[in-house]
Amino acid sequence: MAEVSANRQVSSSGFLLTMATEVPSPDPGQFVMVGLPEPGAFFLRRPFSVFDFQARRKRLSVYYSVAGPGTEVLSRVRPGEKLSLLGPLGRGFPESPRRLHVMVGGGRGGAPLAFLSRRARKGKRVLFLVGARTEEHVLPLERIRASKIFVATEDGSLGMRGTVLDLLENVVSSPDFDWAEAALYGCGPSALLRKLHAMAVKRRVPCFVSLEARMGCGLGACQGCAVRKSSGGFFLVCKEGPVVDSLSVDWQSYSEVR
Amino acid sequence: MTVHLGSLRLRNPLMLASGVAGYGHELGDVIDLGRVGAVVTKTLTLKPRQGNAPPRLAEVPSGLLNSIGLANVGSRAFISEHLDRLRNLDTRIIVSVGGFTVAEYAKLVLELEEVGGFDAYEVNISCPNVKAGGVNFGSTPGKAAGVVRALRSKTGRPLIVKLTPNVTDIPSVAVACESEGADALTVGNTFRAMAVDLDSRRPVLGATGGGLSGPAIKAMCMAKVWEVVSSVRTPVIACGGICSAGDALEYIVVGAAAFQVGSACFRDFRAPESILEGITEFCRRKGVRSVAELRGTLELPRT
Ligand SMILES: Cc1cc2nc3c(=O)[nH]c(=O)nc-3n(C[C@H](O)[C@H](O)[C@H](O)COP(=O)(O)OP(=O)(O)OC[C@H]3O[C@@H](n4cnc5c(N)ncnc54)[C@H](O)[C@@H]3O)c2cc1C
Ligand SMILES: Cc1cc2nc3c(=O)[nH]c(=O)nc-3n(C[C@H](O)[C@H](O)[C@H](O)COP(=O)(O)O)c2cc1C
Ligand code: FES
Repeated sequence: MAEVSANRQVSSSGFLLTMATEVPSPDPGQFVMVGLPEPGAFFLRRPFSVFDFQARRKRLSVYYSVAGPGTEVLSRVRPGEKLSLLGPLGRGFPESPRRLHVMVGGGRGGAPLAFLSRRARKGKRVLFLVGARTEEHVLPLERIRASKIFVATEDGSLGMRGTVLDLLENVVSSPDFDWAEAALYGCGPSALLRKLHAMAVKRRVPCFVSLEARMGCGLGACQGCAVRKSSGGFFLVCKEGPVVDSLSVDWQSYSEVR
Repeated sequence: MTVHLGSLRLRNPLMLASGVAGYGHELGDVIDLGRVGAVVTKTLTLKPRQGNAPPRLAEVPSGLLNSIGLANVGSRAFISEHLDRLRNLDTRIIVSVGGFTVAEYAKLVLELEEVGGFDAYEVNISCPNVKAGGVNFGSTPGKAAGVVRALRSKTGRPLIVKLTPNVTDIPSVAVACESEGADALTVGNTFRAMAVDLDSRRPVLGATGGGLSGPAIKAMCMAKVWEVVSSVRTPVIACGGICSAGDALEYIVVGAAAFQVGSACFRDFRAPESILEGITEFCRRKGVRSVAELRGTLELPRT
């Protein structure tokens, strides 16, 4: 059990949940399974990527949006309440030897990337691209550590008007953008990830994406979180993911599922 | 709390149900397997199976809907990669076997008999019989008996048969399995169910339909257990919606000799431990010496 130390609304769709816990130090991209309060009302734990981890204070945070009844109940949890917490689980982002790390986060998908940006080694150049519906929906930018942060909102209330993909097109068309040094990191809606993958293939750069699937156990035991592989068959998001090389995903199938 | 199911002796009546514990070792970090009576493996088939199209899980009120589709590594990989690790677990290992023809069940059991290293079989007869046009083996007494008969002649290990609740007359299937020599009957598997996403007007599950488990099915499963214990002498293992000691004890009072915990593990992996503690506490409070003393003590109105 982990005691909730804070659960605050930090944007109009985003909440920051911080728990005191003894869990091992997570790698960026790994996730935790959080048990919901009122165990009678909900059955499955909900998976969330790690947004922050402070080893000394033993604090783990996730950034989540209200997507349905479970996350709605979660948003009403008060500090001092205890939630069951399992993790960290799965495989996080691998570190590309390339020098330019381009992180593309759509909506709440920015969460694991923000954690990744803070763990980037010295000597890496991080370009962080954030997409959100409006300024009010943008995740806490102060938690991102990057050489440059770019923002796009659908209504233009902050940064560029458009999607994070439009923003990406802009960023990569700058004359000093060097594809030969670039690696892409993405998390967000399936349409975004699919296009990111297409761009990576076209430019022949590595691309790592964090996937989502409905989970039961989170431990590779129930076979519930299967995603179709490009090479045929399935992989388990909780075990072989959630972060995978975008080349390994059957994108047609993945975009149909959600 | 020792329990006997035919020649199978368990340290306590709690078993982890098939499909929630993988091949036994996956949950080693979160459940102390040294405490549970037995672990039933994910259903194994002769050939590996990839399983159904995603999504394979959905939460519904008080329950879980799944359409995993018997995704499993197949007998060869099970024997070479998983069996050794299972052998080292400090609990009884029950291998769940499935098949799409009687011959497939038989071949699988023969392969497993050759290597050994486990304690019993649970025969999952909820698989569609491809020869009979996809009807479940568990759906008629004749088909169920055919599977049990074929396996009974191939092994001396205890044979537990897991019945499907999706039949109108479960006692007739239970009687058929008993007369072919089943050592115990698990009642039962998931209830057929379906969920719809109104926004997309699509089924939530990739396979359209699935099986319902969790608290939602407990009362229905209770009636099935009652029907079966009323018609056979073979020990019955209750499985359906058990989340608490009270749930498990109700089944025991109705007549179950042992019970399995499935979906409840997903909500909280400490469920097995707390169920066992709760049973001990109940027995102490009521002055009951053993779980066996409670078995089948349901008080019926005398009218
Ligand atoms: C590895 C992983 C990491 C995740 N990280 C985050 C995160 O950092 N922040 C965050 O806000 N959310 C994250 N999610 C998604 C989050 O788990 C779901 O939004 C949540 O489970 C929805 O629960 P609910 O009860 O509110 O909604 P439900 O009523 O269960 O579902 C509402 C909608 O959300 C979708 N959904 C349900 N369960 C999942 C799921 N497991 N994965 C994806 N979509 C789902 C369904 O399409 C459904 O229509 C992550 C998911 C995974 C698999
Ligand atoms: C994800 C999942 C996978 C399952 N896989 C199997 C299986 O492979 N073989 C089987 O006999 N039962 C399988 N079951 C059914 C369970 O063993 C059990 O019969 C059912 O879930 C009812 O018990 P519960 O309400 O305690 O979960 C599965 C159940 C779930 C939730
Ligand atoms: S959630 Fe159970 S295998 Fe991934």
